[in-house]
Amino acid sequence: MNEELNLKPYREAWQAEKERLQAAPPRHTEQDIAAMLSRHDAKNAVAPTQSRQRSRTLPIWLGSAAASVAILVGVAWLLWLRPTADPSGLPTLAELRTSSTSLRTPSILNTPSTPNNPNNSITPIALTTPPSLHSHTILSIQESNDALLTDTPIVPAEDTQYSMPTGQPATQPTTQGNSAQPQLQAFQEMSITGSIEKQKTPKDPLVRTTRMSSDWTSSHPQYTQIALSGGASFTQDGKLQPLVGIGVTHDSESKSVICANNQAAIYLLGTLPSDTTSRVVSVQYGYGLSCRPTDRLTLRVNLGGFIQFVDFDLGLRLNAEMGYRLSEDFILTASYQYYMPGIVSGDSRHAAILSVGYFIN
Amino acid sequence: MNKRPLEEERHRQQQFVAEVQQCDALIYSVCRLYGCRRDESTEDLYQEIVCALWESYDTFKGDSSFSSWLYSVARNTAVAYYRRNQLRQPEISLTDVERDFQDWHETPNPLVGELYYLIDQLNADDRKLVGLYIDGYEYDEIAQQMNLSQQAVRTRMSRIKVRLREIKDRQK
Repeated sequence: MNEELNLKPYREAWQAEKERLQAAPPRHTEQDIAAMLSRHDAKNAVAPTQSRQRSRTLPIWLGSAAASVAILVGVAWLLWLRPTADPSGLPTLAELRTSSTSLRTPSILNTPSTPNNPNNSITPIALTTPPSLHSHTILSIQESNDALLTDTPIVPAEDTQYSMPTGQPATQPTTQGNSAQPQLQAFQEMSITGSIEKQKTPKDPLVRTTRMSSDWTSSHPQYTQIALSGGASFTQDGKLQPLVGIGVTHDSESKSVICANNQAAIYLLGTLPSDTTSRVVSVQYGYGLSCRPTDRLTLRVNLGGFIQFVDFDLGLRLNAEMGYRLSEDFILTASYQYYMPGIVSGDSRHAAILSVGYFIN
Repeated sequence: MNKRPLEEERHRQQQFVAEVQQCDALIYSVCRLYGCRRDESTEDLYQEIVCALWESYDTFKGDSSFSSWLYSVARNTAVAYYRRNQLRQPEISLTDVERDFQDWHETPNPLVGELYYLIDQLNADDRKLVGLYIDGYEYDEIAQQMNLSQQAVRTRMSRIKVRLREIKDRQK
């Protein structure tokens, strides 16, 4: 335990010093003070006043409110006001919703029925996968579209006559007759899920279909993103603290349902004006809920804890965020964090953070 | 905004100057405890405080004594001044402070010189906190002044005291 300096002797010494100063003759005459005011009036200089001091404390709530409004306006603009024809070539929201390659959505849900499909409900994934993407092998049923979207190299299945070489385009889907190529794609996917039994009966479409359906319902897509963040936090005494950080978020499921998420992050906080003694590192972990009302939009709430180093502190923090999918790999997230009063310091804090995340699976 | 007649304004200013001059030592002590690294910079701060007082003179309604109101405005101005200038000014040593101190005092109390040096190593917020404590405020009053909880004040004070101990030990 570090020893504290006893300030009482200094306190007593200062009181004596103050009395001595009071008793001493004034250093400034009235003329001196009047001259100061004249110079001040002449320059019309604005000295820091109490009202300016008060304005420094406003960011506690005003800054948070302004940041929240900016975030909401930004997301609204991205979602509703952006033109549907995206000049960058990025698929529009409507396209994403209907496309078989919609983000993280198994194409199985969008495929038409075919004569090959006796239960008339589910078709193998490859039937609707664009030919340009068929140079990829899929790692598992639940991650099939993830793999397609992230350029995972082909790993041909070795124990099946249906395996396809890397880079080989697949046949376009047909709606008539038995096409070997679409079934082939489906079995590549099946084999990598580890379903060896199913591989041994590749020609029975019913078995395949059943198995695929089972995969979808039993194992949901998961994704993990790594994000670089920047923002500002506001201490309860009005101090603005810029922050930068890196974080990882893992969502256990991602399509239109509420699901669990885990978040871990490290933030480096500074102060304005810059002050080396107030830079701290904050390590956080939280657990919460996510949902995806649209293909591009993700909402999360997350309750967790933080540990702060340098000026040691720990406590709980609440995080609410909105993520907007910029492309297949990137997501822009705006979040608001409330740090509940720390156990050690008793200080609370607000933060507004903007992050760019990259999907790593 | 209503403009006062010139004569009235002049009279008001004279009254202000007289009242401030009565509190000259008080302003100087605020400069030294909350805002300045060296005695040589107290004059700048003193002037800034006088200007700040004049600008907010309208807010003084006489609910408290003039000196209490002055002390509060002066302290805020001094902390802001220190925050603004802390990084621009070079580090000072205990010897510098003691030499400054001896220039101004015939019989200096070494503890006061040491105090000046120690608080000069703190950031603006911590210096204000320690300044209030040294100035005779209790924790609940400091908490009120700084808009913090009493627990937060105690915790911060504890950290600051540890830091000051380290600074003092390094000087030995």
